[in-house]
Amino acid sequence: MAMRGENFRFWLPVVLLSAFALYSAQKLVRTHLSSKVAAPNYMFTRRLPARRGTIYDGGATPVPLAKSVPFWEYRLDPVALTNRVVKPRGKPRRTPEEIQATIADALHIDRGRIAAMCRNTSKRYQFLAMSSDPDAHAVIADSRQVAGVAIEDRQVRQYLHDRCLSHVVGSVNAAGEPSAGIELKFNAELTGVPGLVRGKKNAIGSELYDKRIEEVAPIPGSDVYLTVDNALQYDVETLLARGVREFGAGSGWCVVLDAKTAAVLAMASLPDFHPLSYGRASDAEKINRTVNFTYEPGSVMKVITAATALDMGIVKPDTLYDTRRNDERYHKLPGDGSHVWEPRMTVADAIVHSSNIVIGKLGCDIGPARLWNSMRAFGFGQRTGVELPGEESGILRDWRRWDVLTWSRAPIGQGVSVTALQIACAYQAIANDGRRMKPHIVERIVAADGTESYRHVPKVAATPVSKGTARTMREIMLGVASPAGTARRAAIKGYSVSGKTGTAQKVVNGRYADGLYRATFCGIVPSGVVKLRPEDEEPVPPRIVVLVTLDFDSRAKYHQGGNSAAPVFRLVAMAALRRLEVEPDRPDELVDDFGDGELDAILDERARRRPLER
Amino acid sequence: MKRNRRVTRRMSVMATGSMYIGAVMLTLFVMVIVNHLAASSCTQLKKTIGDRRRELDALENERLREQARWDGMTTPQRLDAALLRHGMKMRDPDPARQIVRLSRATGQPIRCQASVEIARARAASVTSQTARYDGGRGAIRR
Repeated sequence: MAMRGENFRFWLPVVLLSAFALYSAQKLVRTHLSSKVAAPNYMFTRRLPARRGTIYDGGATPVPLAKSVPFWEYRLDPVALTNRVVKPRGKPRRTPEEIQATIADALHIDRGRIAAMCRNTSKRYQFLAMSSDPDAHAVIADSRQVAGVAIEDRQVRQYLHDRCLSHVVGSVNAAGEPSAGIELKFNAELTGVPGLVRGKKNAIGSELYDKRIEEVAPIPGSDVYLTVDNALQYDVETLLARGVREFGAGSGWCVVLDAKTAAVLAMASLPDFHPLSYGRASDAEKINRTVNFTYEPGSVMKVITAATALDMGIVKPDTLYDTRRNDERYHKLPGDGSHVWEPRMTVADAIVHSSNIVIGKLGCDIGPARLWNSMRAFGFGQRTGVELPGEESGILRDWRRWDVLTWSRAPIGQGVSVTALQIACAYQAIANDGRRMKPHIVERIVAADGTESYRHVPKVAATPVSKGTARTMREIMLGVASPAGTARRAAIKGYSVSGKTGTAQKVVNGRYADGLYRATFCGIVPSGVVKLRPEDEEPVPPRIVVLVTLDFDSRAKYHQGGNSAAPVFRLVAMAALRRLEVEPDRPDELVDDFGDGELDAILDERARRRPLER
Repeated sequence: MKRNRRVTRRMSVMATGSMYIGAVMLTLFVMVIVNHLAASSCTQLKKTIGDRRRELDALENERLREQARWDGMTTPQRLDAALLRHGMKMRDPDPARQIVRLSRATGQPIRCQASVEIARARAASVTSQTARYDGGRGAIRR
């Protein structure tokens, strides 16, 4: 007996401990290693979608351009609506008709439509509506009022400015697939990382919130901040649309660049599309003509030719050229029209009057190899690297493949094709004392936790001409917007404008079409050659580069750059100068507005007072 | 005495064994109870945290919806439309009357500042003269 008792005392704790260890082990396996075991029916795993990042503009106070907003999606189950008992406290059971009326009133839907959906009992979970109205949601989610409506949380992409900047911002469809613009280019950054929920559900499939086993919160996408000023963009689009309409153009585009950094301040292309109906937009509407479209630039290229010749010391601004076609190389070179009548003309005048013959001859004097190299340095024939999808590089054939005619055609902007942004960047180089900066439209990217994952650093892409040449070119180009130049309608009161017109014939079926043109004006404001006070060492620096092109699909009365694109340029530049608060470099022109001797009286008064104040 | 000593020794062995088992059982019991209490407390905390988090999410969603609604109402297009609805049309000032920052201001007047002085003079012409009118004599002190 003694032995039996001792055995019992020894084995009892061993058995108990073993049982406890087994129980704990089983618990451990169930809790932590259950992923290796088939999940029972009451378990569920759900992905939590991450909120897509916001796209902001580049104003002083960033304004959201595209934003994901939480919405509720409502789906109607006719079977549940008819069969489920809905009985408010202290009131009789609600009839299906009453429930339908409540749903219709809350979601502002026609009652007849809901009744028709309810009659179709073969189709369950029919789409009812999307809403972000919390009052409506409170009514629909109240099980004592409504039954038969399934509610799902959704993220809806909202484009708060409708069509404004649509080509740049792009579009995302209902499935979250990006289609164009920044949405497409920075999709990885904007998307974020989805989260995960694993837990238990009850007999009717509803989640038991207190039985969640695992919960990983989603990481929202990063926010993208652009350089574009939304208010300026609105002005530019409005003015461009007005210009396209008034001059009878089929389409038009405009780029506004910061003259120092090549930051894109505005970018408009018409016709445009609404981001929410991108799928229904035509190809003509979808294309961003500032970067995804190439065309012969026409006379705006003459500035590049003249700058190259001046920089290489081949000519000086006052070098005279014969304006006759006295060489076979200039055979069939487009004439100079009625605006050029001098038998001999200086290089500076050739820019001011846009002489094809003089600039064609100048191009031949430079030679194809040097001209080609200079054009490459100005950025033609290669992508600018702006952060937009599908950018075209343009066509600038190797100089060894140029025929004799191309020697005199490329200098005047024929036989090469460029994008609007390339032209604007080339002019930006002239505005920025010869330094061509890499254009950019994204200023920074900020992650959800506030850390900056990207910030643009200004980068010099090339230095095609020297500082002196750039300044000389700006001085020459001042004449274009003067009463003697081809674009006197580009002049802006209070500011000096250096620019150049371009009227390029369109190519249709491989031939230049008669009467169809693209009118361009590209200008720098202020010109950067006018001093505010005589004693100043430096002139007022250039602030913006503006390019405007109007594309005529049919014959138009005002199809030339000077009388169609230039007036639009003037309005756009004025809006930009006002928004950016640029100081006038010719304030006298503004002061003259007062007239009636009041100004003189004020100045006299000031002159009299000044000695006493000292 | 011998028998008594033996009995005493056997009793001592039994008592030690029982105490050992009792201690183990008590420890296990206490551990199980503590485990259950802690688990219960954790579950309660988890539930509270979950509720708060859902509440926070709902409020954050509400904030996002309201923010989007406000952003949508204050776009330049909508503001223009709202002004037009009330029969108003806003326009920017003439370039001559717009005040801009001078990047290299020296303190010395330049001609464009005359426009500012005109505005100041016009504004001052009524108030200052009224304030400095010295009655009876009909003179304005400058």
